[in-house]
Amino acid sequence: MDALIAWFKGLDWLANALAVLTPVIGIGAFIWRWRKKTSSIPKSFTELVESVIKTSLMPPSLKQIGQIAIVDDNISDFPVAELKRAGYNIKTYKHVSVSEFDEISKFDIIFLDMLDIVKDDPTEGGLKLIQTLRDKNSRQRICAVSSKKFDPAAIAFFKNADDAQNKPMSAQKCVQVIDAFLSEKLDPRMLAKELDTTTDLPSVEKRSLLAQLSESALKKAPLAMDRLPSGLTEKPRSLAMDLSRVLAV
Amino acid sequence: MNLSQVLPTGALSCPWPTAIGATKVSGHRMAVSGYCVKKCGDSPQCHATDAPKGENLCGHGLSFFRHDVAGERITVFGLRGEKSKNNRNPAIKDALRGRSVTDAELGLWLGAIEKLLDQISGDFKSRQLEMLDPLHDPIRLAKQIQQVAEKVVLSSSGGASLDDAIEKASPELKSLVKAADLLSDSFDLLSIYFNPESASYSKSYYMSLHGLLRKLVGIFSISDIYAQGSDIPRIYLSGSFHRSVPLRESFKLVPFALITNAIKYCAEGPVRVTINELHHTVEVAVESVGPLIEPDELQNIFGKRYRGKWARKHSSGSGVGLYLADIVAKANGFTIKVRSSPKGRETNGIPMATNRFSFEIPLQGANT
Repeated sequence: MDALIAWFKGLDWLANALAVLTPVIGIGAFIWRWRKKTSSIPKSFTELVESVIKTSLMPPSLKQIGQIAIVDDNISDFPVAELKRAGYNIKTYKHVSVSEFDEISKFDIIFLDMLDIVKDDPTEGGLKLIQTLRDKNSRQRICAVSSKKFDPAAIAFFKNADDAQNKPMSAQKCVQVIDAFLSEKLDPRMLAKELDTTTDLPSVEKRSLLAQLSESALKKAPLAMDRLPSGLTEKPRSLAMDLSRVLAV
Repeated sequence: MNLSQVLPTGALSCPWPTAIGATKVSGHRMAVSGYCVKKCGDSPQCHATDAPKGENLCGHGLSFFRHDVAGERITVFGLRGEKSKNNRNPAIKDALRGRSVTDAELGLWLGAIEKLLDQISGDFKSRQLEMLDPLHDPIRLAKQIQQVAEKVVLSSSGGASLDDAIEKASPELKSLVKAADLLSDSFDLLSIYFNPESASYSKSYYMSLHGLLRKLVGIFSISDIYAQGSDIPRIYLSGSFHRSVPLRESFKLVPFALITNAIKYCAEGPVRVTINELHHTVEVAVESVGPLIEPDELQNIFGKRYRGKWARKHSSGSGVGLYLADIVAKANGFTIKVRSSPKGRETNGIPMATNRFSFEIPLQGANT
């Protein structure tokens, strides 16, 4: 027994070493893991997009992602069936009420008629709706579709839109408009560049957003709006949501 | 409404002597001052000067007031105002007796005229709108007819492309496509006539310029089997430029209007449409032999309802085709140039010339 005690007493150096080294190793491991985690966060949105596009088998098809609404009291003026067969996500509305304005503002692209589309206001509804959509979602792409281009009173309606087309619209023309708009709104490299250069994004929020987008791209799940950093203003918020949708495909 | 034409009629109240444009009107509260007539005769010099708005002093010591109403310069002259009331010259004191007016009084009068003009303009626009409203459906139907005509030609002639199908189509189908196309484009031009702003509505898309011109030339070249006795000149397209350039939807109306114009006034030979790449631009030109455009008419040829002297002798017309082409050209960021080179001979008493309308589109952003 005494020999055993003496043997343990002889191992004081080992006990001291363990007492010192264990927390040091622990802290070191923690720091190593933290550095590994933070260094895997891209330094910019452009870097993030390039890494995702390189690693995915197929680049995201904007057609799959884009959400398109047609708001017109005469839906037969649009080749809806043909567009759906071609893979576009189309939703049609013959009329909308004021309570649906919020829902409409969430689409990426809207084909919008001027007359007889707002139940509560058949004559001026289109003009007021387009202004509301601009206020709610400045990045939404709007194509004004009306045969009233001759009407000077409709100037504000057409000028507020991103494009203006006559009705009825052919499939070829619809596709041309949609593809151009999707490219403008959802191209990942363009989105990344805008996020990198926007001044509305403080560096703390930027880092947090980069981490969230990386994770969302990894999990193939778009970010939820309420998970975005709270300091984001409307435009970077919208850019981030679109980028997350594109990277999640 | 021109104030210079309305004021002399007496329909509008004009209290003080007023000059507007080349017109001089005596006021009902005070006539033109004898002193003004003595010093300036029939043309008050104050009206010709570039004086600032409000009260000014003329070279003879009298006050005059300068204002703009509905884009027209108005001068109310020969009056006693703040700046002239202390003039010690006995002749001027005498001339100004009983001719006091303040800027505020003038402001009330001019304000009333502006309100009246706004009301008239508003009423005119409402009436115009009422008259234009029925256009909504015909424009839509014309577009529908155009699409249906193209589908019919494609399905019955079996060409690889629309141009191909039109080439192979029967004369009746060709006439149908031509009529449908011209109808749709004519309605587009009509929209621009009533609302010039509409020329700049759509966004730019990459278009094959050569393809567009080829289609237009093809359409215009179709003989109208139902228009007996009217021959259209041959139309040739030459030049090579096969890149796409970003252009608005309205752009096609420029070559449409120029070719229509060339066909209408072509007195001999063909209409030539050329497309050529220059240094940093691509030039499109439409050339034909027709009535001479006199040198002093060249700058006015794009004015609304303007027609050259020899063009009027050649045929009837409304003078809006080139006016609309010019509006669309400017909305697309370029201008149309015109050149008329005399041939040195006459046909039916009308001097002939080679008339060339051309424009250049910048090539930045062009796609190969």
